[in-house]
Amino acid sequence: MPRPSRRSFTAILATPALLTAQVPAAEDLVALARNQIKANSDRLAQFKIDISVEPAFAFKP
Amino acid sequence: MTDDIFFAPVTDLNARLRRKEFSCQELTRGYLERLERLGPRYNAVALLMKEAAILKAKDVDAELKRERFRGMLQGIPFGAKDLLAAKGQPTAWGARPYAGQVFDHDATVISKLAKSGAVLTSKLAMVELAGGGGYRFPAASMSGPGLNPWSRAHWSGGSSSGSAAAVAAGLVPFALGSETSGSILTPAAYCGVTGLRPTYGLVSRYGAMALSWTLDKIGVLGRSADDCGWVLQSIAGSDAKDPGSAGKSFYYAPQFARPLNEITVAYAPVDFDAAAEPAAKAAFQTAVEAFQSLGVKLVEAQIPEFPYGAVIGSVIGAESASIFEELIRSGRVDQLDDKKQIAGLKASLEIPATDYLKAMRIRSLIREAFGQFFAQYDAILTTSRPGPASRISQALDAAGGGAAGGAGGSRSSATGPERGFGGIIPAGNLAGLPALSLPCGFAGELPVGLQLVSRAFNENLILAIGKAFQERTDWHQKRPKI
Repeated sequence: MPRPSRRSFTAILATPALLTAQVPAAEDLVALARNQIKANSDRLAQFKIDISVEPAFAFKP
Repeated sequence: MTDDIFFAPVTDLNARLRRKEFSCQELTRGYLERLERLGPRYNAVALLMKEAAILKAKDVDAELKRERFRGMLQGIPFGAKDLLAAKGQPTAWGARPYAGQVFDHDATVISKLAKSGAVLTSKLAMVELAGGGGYRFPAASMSGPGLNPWSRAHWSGGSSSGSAAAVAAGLVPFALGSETSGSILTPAAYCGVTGLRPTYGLVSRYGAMALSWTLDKIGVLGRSADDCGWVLQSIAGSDAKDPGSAGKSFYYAPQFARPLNEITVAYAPVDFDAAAEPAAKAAFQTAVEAFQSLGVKLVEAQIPEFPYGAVIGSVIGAESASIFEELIRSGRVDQLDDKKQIAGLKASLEIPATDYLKAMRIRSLIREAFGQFFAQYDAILTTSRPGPASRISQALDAAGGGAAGGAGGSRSSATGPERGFGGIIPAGNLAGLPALSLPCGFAGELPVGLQLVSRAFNENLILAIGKAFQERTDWHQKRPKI
């Protein structure tokens, strides 16, 4: 194994500290994920589609 | 052995093995030594398969001695993304809840490469569960953040992080990766290697971790378009064990490609200018000029307008929630490294069935629209990513996307008159189209890539264009300082 350089230590060891500083609370992240699902849902709802269109990769016997 | 060998194309290595300039064992030991010594620098290796690789190399040497030739990949070492099963070896899918998981069978692509005489040296690191829940940081992997061989302060891209980094650093001549939405093209562009995402169904996924049944593809990260073509020929083909198999095979034949001056390529200048990151604009402009010099007809166009981000987010979310339902409900999902990914998977259980089906219905229209698009154009030329890799400490949502296993990054909605080909990563994946990422220059010290997309099963066309581009340029031959 090569001896890690000072630069690699700085790059690798800095990561967890930065992560801790930037990560929102778990509940906030779930709320954000739910918001994204809701935003996707709203966007899909806005898209008008003919009643005859079937889903891609529909069931084939 | 000099370092040059470890960056040589597959065709060159195979010719030299046949001429007995070195043995397969010598070549394999050379790559194993690099994987062991240099792999940890980039967090690129999930598992080193020393003993199995040496045994296989001995077999290949015996065959070569008997002059039993199996083709271009005979004797070529390679690595596989750790979502592919290798019989009796740990396959953790990059995720702590699956550490120590062992399968009793090989993935079809692993068996096919073994039959071609290729030597599996390593399982390569990846973003946990290929990033299906949407991850916030490059550190979303039990192997640690994928570090870029061009600058370890930057990300290698994901989710095929180790596959791209290992090729870039000369630890393997080629590697297998997978893409659901950007997981081959993104790391290929960020690490300055060539990446091929095949048409949906052309390559069997049997033995691969499923993230999205209707989107997952297995592909190649290599040193050139030519190398990717040879590997695709070996791994493509019908497989009854994969319900998504298209039942087609692939023969790499760039010599039979149409003359370049008969090929019409759609492109949008905005992709290389306003939509590109400032640091990358000069490189993209130079690359487009080099592309124009090939003699292809470049015609301005833009992507069909659809809500690609919402469609692919709903499809990946619903399918991955079903696939990992047991992991999520048992609470073991909390062992994952990335908190956003945990939250994303949990929330995905709540996606309504009507949203999933609406997304899949829109997908039918997307497929139809691209069918019409490719009646006018042979291929699309755009950027692989709008700029180079972000710093490993930077949140991917703050960096404007890059969560490649997830919704495909920035510009995924593709709306408005100046949309260019923004959203082509989710769009191309939703339509099941093949794509090729080609190194095309540098933004500072970091590589950037061009992307070619074509109609389904038209891999030979984009590979032929890519080969011609790489015969005129040398960006794919540049190496990071190791």
